[in-house]
Amino acid sequence: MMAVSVRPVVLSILLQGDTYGYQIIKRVSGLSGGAMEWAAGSLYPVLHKMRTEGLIEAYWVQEEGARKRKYYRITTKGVRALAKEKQQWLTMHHVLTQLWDVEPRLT
Amino acid sequence: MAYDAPRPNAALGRGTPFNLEHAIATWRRFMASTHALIADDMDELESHLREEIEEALASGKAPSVEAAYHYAVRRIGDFATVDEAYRHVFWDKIFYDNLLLRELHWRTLMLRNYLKTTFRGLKRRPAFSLINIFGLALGMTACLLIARYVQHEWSYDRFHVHAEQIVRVNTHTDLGPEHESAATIALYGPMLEEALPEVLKSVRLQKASFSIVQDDRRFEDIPILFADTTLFDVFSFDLQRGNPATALSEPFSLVLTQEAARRHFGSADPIGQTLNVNGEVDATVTGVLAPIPAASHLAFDMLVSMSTSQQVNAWLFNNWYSTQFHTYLLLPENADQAALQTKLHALVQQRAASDLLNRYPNYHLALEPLLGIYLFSDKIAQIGPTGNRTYLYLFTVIGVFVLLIACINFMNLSTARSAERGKEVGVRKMVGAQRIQLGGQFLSESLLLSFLAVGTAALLFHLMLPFLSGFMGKDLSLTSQDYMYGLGFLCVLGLGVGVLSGSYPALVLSSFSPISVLKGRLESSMRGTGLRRVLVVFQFGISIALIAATLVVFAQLRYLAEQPLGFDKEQLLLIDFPGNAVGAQSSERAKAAFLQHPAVQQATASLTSPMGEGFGRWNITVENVSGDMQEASIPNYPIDFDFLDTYGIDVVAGRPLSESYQTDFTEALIVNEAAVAHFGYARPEDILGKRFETWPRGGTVVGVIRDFNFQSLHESIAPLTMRYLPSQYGTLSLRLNTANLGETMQDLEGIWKSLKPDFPFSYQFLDDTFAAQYARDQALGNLFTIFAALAIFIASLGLFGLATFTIQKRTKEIGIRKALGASSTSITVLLSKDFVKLVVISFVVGAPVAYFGMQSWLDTFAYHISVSPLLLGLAGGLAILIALVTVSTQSLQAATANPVEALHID
Repeated sequence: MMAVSVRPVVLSILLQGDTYGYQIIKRVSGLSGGAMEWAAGSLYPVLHKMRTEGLIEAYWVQEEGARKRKYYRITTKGVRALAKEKQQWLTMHHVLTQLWDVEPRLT
Repeated sequence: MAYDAPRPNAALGRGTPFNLEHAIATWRRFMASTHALIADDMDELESHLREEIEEALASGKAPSVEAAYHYAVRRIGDFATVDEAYRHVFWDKIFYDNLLLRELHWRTLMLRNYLKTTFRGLKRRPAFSLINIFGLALGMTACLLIARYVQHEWSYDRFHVHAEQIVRVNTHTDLGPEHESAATIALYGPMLEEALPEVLKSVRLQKASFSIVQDDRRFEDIPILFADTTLFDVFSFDLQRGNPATALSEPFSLVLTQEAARRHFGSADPIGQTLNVNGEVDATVTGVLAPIPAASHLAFDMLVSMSTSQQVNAWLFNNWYSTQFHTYLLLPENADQAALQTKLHALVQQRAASDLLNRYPNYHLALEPLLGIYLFSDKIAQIGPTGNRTYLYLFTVIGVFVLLIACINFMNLSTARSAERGKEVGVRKMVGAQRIQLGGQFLSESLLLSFLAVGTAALLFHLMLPFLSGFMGKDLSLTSQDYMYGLGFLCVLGLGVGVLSGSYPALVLSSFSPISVLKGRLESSMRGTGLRRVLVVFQFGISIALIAATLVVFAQLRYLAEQPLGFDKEQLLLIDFPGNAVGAQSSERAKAAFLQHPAVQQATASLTSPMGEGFGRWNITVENVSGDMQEASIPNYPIDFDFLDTYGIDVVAGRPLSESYQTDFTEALIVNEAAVAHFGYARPEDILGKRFETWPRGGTVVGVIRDFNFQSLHESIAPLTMRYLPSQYGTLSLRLNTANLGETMQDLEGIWKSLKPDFPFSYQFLDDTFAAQYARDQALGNLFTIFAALAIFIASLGLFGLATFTIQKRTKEIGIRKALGASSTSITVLLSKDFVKLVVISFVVGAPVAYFGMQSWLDTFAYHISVSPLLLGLAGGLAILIALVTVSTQSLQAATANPVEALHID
């Protein structure tokens, strides 16, 4: 399940710093305790789409002794979009936790 | 279904060391096969892949590099999902990164590859492709040629700016439909224009023919029209040189067409020059017309001012009976013709001479629209030839059918062939070809064929148009603008046909799962067979009908040629005897001179020959059986005393005209048997001695002749009268001994020159005149031959496609039969039997159509054969023969194929 959750996750990760696709997948896997294993072939197209929407930018980095990697950086537009997404998700979370009678636990 | 990346070393077997770089390179090539991934994406994915491999090795998840590689590849995702995901964002990327140009370049390359593969595909079966292209091209060309002819015929007189407002005045005497005439007297033109405000302008035309003498050259039978000055107001005959207001005012003024100007004056300016007319008077050229479109019911070489005719034939212009003119009126836009018609009735009743109205109580004038004249007018005394609407409808139907059949054939053959390629499709799908790619391949092949056919058709049409013009005797050339339209239409048609015929394999074949296709299971395409069989029956049915029609036409023509005519038409030479006031002396002298030649057995003078032109109807009153003077309008034939003898016409009652009787010079009349019946007499003897009255004077009937065919055999023999009237002679008829004809003709020419040195020796054999009568029917026969050949060819194409397909389906069956000992012959027979059955069915379909169609054509002849079953059978037999030949190539090939190959399990 990728779909609509990808954007806020990716934007949030990039907000904390530029990174590349492989790292993003690993980070998500770690954060979810292995529950969310994104497939690379599915993630990258989404990244490209977000790029064409102007939410993120891409640039190649060739470090000494390391292989070429394509890094992504969040843009101002992306930051604003993230803020909006955050609002929506928190609202949703608030509603669901009440309905499911779960102890609210904000990160 | 999930397709994994290829396992590069699996084929090499165990024991080969794993090469990571090699593996990654292969993987990359595989991924790159989808156009959705650009190089940048490949780099990103490769980078990701390597990270995964490193991680897997480092964390111990994979025991070896090879294992790590496969693990990493799996983690990326299966090809189909990846491909689809990337496709999703493909175009956004292109536009965002401005890669459009590169994208177009790539697509152009792909297109070029498509074309290359398409050509290769076509070259694999060159005969098939050529036949396919040619069949479609032929159908298109035939349709275009027919369309051009039909368009030409429907466009008559439309070039006149005021075409919708022009009407012709017809004279109705209501003695019968043969008495509705397109001609009127001279008085009505100006009268109507003056008396009726709705008539803006009127113009009178009078047809005649001139001989022109210029220096020492002589031109005979030049068709001219006398015309009022108002001609240029009513019709759109533009003057290139000269003033329309004055060109036709003065007497003896000539306005030349382009052809006439060129003929008489070359490139010099003809204005002001003179030409001698009929050896009598000089006329001055006052204008030259701009080129006139060929589609005009008014045909002429020169226009002459009406004032000329008024001066020379003054008596025609205040005469209530001489209907020698064609009157046209220019009305305002959207004029109420019915109201005008009523006014016209009133006017005629008011102004016409009383004796005219007394003679013909139902006498009235009627208006006929200009645009209806060429194709819809059934009046007599037309100013020019009229077209035949029935033929046009027939041709249109044929044209549409031919095109339809050709297109259907094309689609049939293309799909029949594509079914063979099921295996190719299966294999390509296995290696990951997309539906769109495959479909596109089929579509582009079919479009290419289709457009090649379009190109061929355009070329063929251009080449054949002059032939069609000659064949039909009309100028059918096109402007470049017309060509543009035609080409546009063809391209649209080509596109449609190409898409339609490509879409079946594109959609159907490419959607099959590759396994079933490879195994040869194409059941759903068997559905197509039923439709194809129906089409083949239809096509052959049409072919058989056309072949039968052709046979009938030629049989009828031969029958006509063998018909006894009631006179002896062999070895009769007809010589044009020119001049107006010929007189008895002149003709007797000529006859005597010719009779001196040993080869000339008999000679006579008359107005014209039987079946010649000039058989005008004259008003005559004859005492009928009740004793009343009965009015009739029947052909009156001026002859001399030797005519009946020379032509071998029998006298059945009374006596022939003879110089022994003084009254025969002025007061005697000969009638034929049909005339006897027309006036109510039971026996020919009864009419002898009865009175008749006509111009110039009356007399009594002295003889009755046996009916003979003086018109074409389309007509039954009508009533005919004959008398001695030397002032009307126009033809000298000589019965010749045709031995040494060449010498004889030279001698006769010499004799002619001594008699009439100023006139050309213009002659024709009666047999040729006879043949010319049926020129139209002969042309119809030729046309049917062409159409029949075309139809059979196209039908054979259709059958060929069907045969190819169905025989191929039965390959296994044939293999088994052969293996069980059947001979090649028996198999060929078995395969062909099916198709012969189809042709038999189409015979049942086509024969009745031919029968009824040709029977109604034959009914237009008073003398005709009937459609015999033999003819129909012949047509059917021919069709079966052709079908067998068509099918034999395929069935023979299949029957002689190696059964081992046929039974090979794949």
